[in-house]
Amino acid sequence: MTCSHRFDPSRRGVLKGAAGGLALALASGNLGFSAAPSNNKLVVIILHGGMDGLNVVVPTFASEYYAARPSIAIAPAGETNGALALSEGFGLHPALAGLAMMYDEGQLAVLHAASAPYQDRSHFDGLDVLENGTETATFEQSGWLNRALGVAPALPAGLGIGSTLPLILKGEQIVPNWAAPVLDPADPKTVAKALAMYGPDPVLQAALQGSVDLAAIIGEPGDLGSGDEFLARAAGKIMSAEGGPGGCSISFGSWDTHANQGGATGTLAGRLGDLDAALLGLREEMGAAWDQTVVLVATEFGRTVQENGTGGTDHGVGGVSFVLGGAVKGGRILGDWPGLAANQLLDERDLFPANDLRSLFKGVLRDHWGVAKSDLNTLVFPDSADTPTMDNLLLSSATTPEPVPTPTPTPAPVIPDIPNIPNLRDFR
Amino acid sequence: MANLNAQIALHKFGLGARTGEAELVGTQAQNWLQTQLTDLSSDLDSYDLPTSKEGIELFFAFLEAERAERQEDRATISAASSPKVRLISFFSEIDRIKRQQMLIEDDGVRGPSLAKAQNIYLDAKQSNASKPAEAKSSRELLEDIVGILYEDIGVRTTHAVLTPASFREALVRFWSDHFNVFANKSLLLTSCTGAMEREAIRPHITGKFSDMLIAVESHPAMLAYLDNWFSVGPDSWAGKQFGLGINENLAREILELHTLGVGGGYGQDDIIAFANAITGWSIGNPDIQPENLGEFIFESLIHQPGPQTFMGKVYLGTGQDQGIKILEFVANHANTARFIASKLARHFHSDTPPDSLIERLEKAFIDSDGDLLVVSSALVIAPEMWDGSFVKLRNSEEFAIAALRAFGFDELTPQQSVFVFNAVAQIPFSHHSPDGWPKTEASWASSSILSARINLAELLSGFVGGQPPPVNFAENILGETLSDHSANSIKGAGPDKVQGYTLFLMSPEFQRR
Repeated sequence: MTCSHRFDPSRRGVLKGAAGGLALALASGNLGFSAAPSNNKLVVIILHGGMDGLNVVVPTFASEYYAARPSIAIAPAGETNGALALSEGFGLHPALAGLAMMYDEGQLAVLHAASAPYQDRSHFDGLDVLENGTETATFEQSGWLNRALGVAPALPAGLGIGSTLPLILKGEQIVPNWAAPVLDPADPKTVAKALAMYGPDPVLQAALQGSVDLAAIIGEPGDLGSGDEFLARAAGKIMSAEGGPGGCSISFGSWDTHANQGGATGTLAGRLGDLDAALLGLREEMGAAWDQTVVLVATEFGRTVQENGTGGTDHGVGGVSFVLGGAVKGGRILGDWPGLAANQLLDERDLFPANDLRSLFKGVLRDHWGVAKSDLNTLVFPDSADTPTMDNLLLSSATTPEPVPTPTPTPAPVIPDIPNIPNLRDFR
Repeated sequence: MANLNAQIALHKFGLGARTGEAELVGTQAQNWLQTQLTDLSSDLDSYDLPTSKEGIELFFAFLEAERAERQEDRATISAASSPKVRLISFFSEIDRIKRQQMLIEDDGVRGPSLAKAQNIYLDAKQSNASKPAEAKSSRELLEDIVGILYEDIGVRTTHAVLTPASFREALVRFWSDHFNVFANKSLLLTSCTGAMEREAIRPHITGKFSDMLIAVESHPAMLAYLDNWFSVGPDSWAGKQFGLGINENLAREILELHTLGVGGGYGQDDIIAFANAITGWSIGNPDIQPENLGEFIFESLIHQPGPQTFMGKVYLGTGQDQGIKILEFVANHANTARFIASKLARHFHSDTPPDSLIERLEKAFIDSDGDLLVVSSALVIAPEMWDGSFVKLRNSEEFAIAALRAFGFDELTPQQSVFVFNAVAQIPFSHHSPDGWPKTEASWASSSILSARINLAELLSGFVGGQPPPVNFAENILGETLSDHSANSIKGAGPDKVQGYTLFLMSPEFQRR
C-alpha cells in the first residue's frame, strides 16, 4: 500500500506539524475536547479473535446450519435453550438478552455475512484491514477512525480505552487513551515538569498531556464492574462527561473459539454474556447522550460454517456486525444474505462476505458525523468509491438517499462463480 | 565518540547501563557485544526451576486430585487398555483441560490476571513446601503451578537486572517474543510456558534458527497454546474411528508469524498440508503414551497418513519426519530470512530502519543458513546500528528493566517483578495473541502508558538512597546522549531528589534507545 499521502488531514492544517498542534492543544487545556459543536458520539468495539457470527445471529431457518454444526448449534426460538427471535428467521444467541431487548426497542440493527475487504483468514492481517480501513493489509500505523476524526466537521476528539492505543485510533490526530491506574498517581508538580521537559519530544508530550486531561475528566472511577463491562462503562463515563470526546474504540479479546466453544452454554456463551453486559453498561453510563450515540461492533472475520474436529470452528470470512444506540434506526436485519448451501459458500467452507463492512462504516460516518463523501471514499477508506455507502441507518438519516451515480452499486467484494446470491427478501 | 559507542552498546543492544558500566565497555563497544555472543559463562543455566515435564506432571496431578475430591469416576486406563479406550478417554479429557485456568477473573485489561495470582503464589510459598505431591489437594497443586510461573518471571527479571551480558538477554527477549506463548490460556500452559523459554529459546539464541524453530514447535507449551496437541488427521486411525479432524492454528501461525511472514508465498492449501503433516505432534498424557508424561510425543494413531504437498514439493508420509522436513524447509527459506531480518532491524534499530540494515541481516541469514551467531554478529558490526540515533521507544518491560539496572537493584522476588511489570502493563508471558507484544512507538507512546511509567518512576525513585545528585546520576547512565534541555529539567528539581530521579527516568533519552 503506497497511499500514505492520502492520510494527511485535510481540515486540520493548522494543527498539522507536531509542535503547532501541541501548542494549540495545550493552550486549550484539554486537547480540544470542548471544541466540538456537535455531541454525536461514536463507539467502535472490535472483537479480537474472530467472533463466530453464525452462532451469534443464528439462521434458524437454514437446515444447512444444523447439519454443519451437530454439537454446537443453537436451537430455533421457542425450543429449550433456543435463540431469541429477531426477524426474518434469524435469532440471537440466548446469552444476548440485553441486545435482544434493544432490537425490540428499535435500537439495534444486525449486519450479517459481513466482512472487511479481506478473505485470507489471518487474525493479524484481518484486524489490520478492519482497523486501517484499507483494501489490503498494510503496515500503515493509521486507522480509519483516527482519519474520520480529522475530517468530521465537528472535529470530534478521540479516546482509546485500554493500556495501548488500538490501530483504528492511531494516526495524525492526537488521541489519548485511558486505562485503570495501577499505582498511586505521581506528584502533579513532577508531571508538569516532565511535560515541560518533553518540549523537544512532542510524541511523549502529547501522550502524557492526554493522561492529565483524562484524569481530570473521569475523576474517581467508582464501581464500574469488571472485565469488558468495566472498559465499556469507563468509556461511557468519559464520553458522556461535559465536553467529553466524540469518537472512541474499545477492544475485547478471546473470540478465537477453535475448540470446545459450546452451544447455548459454554465458552462462547460466556463471552457473549460479557459483551451483553458491556453494551448494557455502556448505555447506562452514556445516560442522556445515548440518544446521540452509535455503537459499531465488528470482528476481523467470521468462522467456518462446519464445526471442526475439536468442538470449535476455525477461521472463516463472513461474520456478524452490530450497529446499536439511541440514534440507530434498529429492529432490522441489514444487507444481503448469501445462503449456506454448498455452492453459496466462499471456498466451500465460509459464509460468503456479501456485505462490505466499509459500507456500514461509511453510512454511519456520513449520517452521524457528516463526513463528506469525497473524504469517505478516498481518505477515510482509500479506494472505496466502488463500495456503496449504506443509506437510512440512523433516525437522523435523510429519508431520500442521495442519488447514486451510475453504475449502480453492486454487493462487494464480487467474486466470480458464485451463482445468484439471493437477497434476504427472497428468503422467506 | 568512544563514549557514544558505549552508550549505543549498553542501551541500543543491551538492556540499559548499570552504574559504571560505560567505563567497563570503554572504547571496546563492538568487542564487548561480540564477546557476549560466544561467551556463555553468564548464561542463565544453573538455577533450579521445574522442567516443562515436571510442570506438566504437576498439572495432571492437579486434574487427578480435583477428580478425587469431587468423587468423579473415570475409567481406569492402563497399558493394557485398547487404543480406542485410551483415545476416547483423551478426547473427553481435553474439554476439561481447556477449561482449567488460573481461576482468576480476567479484568479485561491485558495482563493483570497474572498480577492477581499473587495471593495464590504467596499461599503456595508458605504452606506447600514440605508436603509430598501425592498428599497435596488440588488447590495446593494449583498454587504450585502458579508458583512455577512466578518463579520464572522472578528469575528471568533478576538475571536481566544483574547480568553483565545484557545484549544476550535482549536477544532472549526478542526470540521469546517472536515465539510468544500466553501462560494463562490454560493451567496446562501456566505449568510450562516459562520452561519453553529456558528449554527451547535460550539454548539456541546463537545457534541455528532451524534448531530453535524445531525446538519451539515441538515444545509442549507451543503445542498446547496453538491447539496442535489434539489436532487429528481425518484419515488417521482416530480420525476414522471418531470422525475428528485437524486444527490448523499452529500450522498457520508458524508460517505467518514464525517463518515466512504474511505474503510469504504459501496459500490455504499449504496451511492444510502442513497442519496434516504435524498431526500427531502432541504431549504425553495419562491416556496416550503415559510413559512420556509431559514430554513431546509423536502419536501415529492421530497422524494423517500419506504424502503432503507443501509449496510445490511432496513430503512423504514418514511420520514425525514429515513435519520436521517442512520446518527445515521454511526455516531456511529466503522469505524467512527477509522476515527475521526486518523484525531484528525494527527491534534493535527503530520502527523504520534503513533498508540497508535489513538487507545486511538478510544476507547474513541466507549466507549462513540461518546461523543466529552470524546474524547477531552482523547486527553488531552493521554501521547503521552506530549512526547515533536513539529513537526506538522502549517497551514497558525494557523501560522497567533499564530503570532497575540504572538504580542498581539486586535480586527481585517474583512478587516484586510482577508488581513492577503490572504497573506498566507488560507482565512477561501474558500477551494473549501469538504475534507478541506491540512493537512500535504508536503503541507504547500512549497516555495510559506514559502515566503508568511516571507513576512507577516516582515509586522507584523513592527507593534510591544516598546516591549522587540526579543530574550527575543521569550523566553517568546516559553519557553524552543526555541533552542539555533534559539535564536542565532534571536540575530544576532542586533538592527534591525523588523528583529529579523521576525526571531522569522519564527523560526522552531514557525512554528511547
